[in-house]
Amino acid sequence: MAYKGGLNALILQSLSRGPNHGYRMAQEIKQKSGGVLHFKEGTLYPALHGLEAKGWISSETQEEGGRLRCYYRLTVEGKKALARQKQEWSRYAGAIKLLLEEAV
Amino acid sequence: MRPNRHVWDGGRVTLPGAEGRLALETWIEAATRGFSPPAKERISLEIAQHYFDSVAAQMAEGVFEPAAHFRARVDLGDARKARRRFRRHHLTESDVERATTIFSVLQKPWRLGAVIASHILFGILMISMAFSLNRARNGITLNWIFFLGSYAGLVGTGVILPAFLLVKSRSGRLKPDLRKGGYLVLMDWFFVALAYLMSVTISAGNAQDLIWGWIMAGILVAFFIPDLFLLRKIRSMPQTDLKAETAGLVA
Repeated sequence: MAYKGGLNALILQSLSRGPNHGYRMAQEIKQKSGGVLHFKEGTLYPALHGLEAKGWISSETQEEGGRLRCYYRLTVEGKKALARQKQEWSRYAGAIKLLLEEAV
Repeated sequence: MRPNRHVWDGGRVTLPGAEGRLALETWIEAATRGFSPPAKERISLEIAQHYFDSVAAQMAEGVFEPAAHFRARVDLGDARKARRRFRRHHLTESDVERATTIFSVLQKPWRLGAVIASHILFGILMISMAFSLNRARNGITLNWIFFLGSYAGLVGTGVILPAFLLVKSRSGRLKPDLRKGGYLVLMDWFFVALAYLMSVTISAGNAQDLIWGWIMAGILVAFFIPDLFLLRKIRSMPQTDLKAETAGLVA
């Protein structure tokens, strides 16, 4: 299942625990969501590049085991954005919950 | 070329490792087609790294290599969709070509002068045409001050604003700033459209003329919209990618 709207928030949340690379982030999200949220590379990397363009994350290439690897890090702006996104998500999720409970 | 299509025939995977790598290369080629070399390099590096990490992790869990390649290939997703997404944040070769043209106009004063002169000359032409058409078709003579006022407005837009943008783009730097000064070049199209629209509005004898005038102005504006998007993209790109992908056009 792909949840487009929340991908940015999930990436920011993952990076709030420290610098990370794309593959590990995708695995973390997949494992922590019990396999429900699984993003393909064609979705994940454009999102990472978009967040970098916004200045919410920064990237640097490091050599690891003789291979180059791109690590991402949360910026100060990114931390603020994550706090905002969490707040927005809580409001949104709360509203949906209210409506669904009313319907049942 | 489309990415390879492989069918999962009930768990018996016939995709060997070498073919998996070929499928990866095909996917990367499709997802980065037309992109500037630095953009291609960055995307290829990340996607390939992810792909091989995925294959290695699956093999460590006991999955056979061909099956691991197959799953990793599936996890890449749709290359064409990925290309559309990457295009929002990376420059294509045609983007770089256009950015180079915009930059050369900014860098060479005589080319910039030509742009500004074209504004003034076009303004004169349009307003003169409007004046003569108005007299011939409607039999009404508008006060010449009206036309002079229109022309002054056009020249003001065509000279004062570009000059301001030029000073801003070059302030304190040896190289003009493409991100700020690019809008100056965009004004070329915008100004032509505006002048055309004004002249048609002034001279139009009937509603049909006006519609054609709006259509023509719309076509002219359409020329400047791709450049507007390009400059928007350039302004919002990460500094590191921007430097690499514009080949030194941006300081």
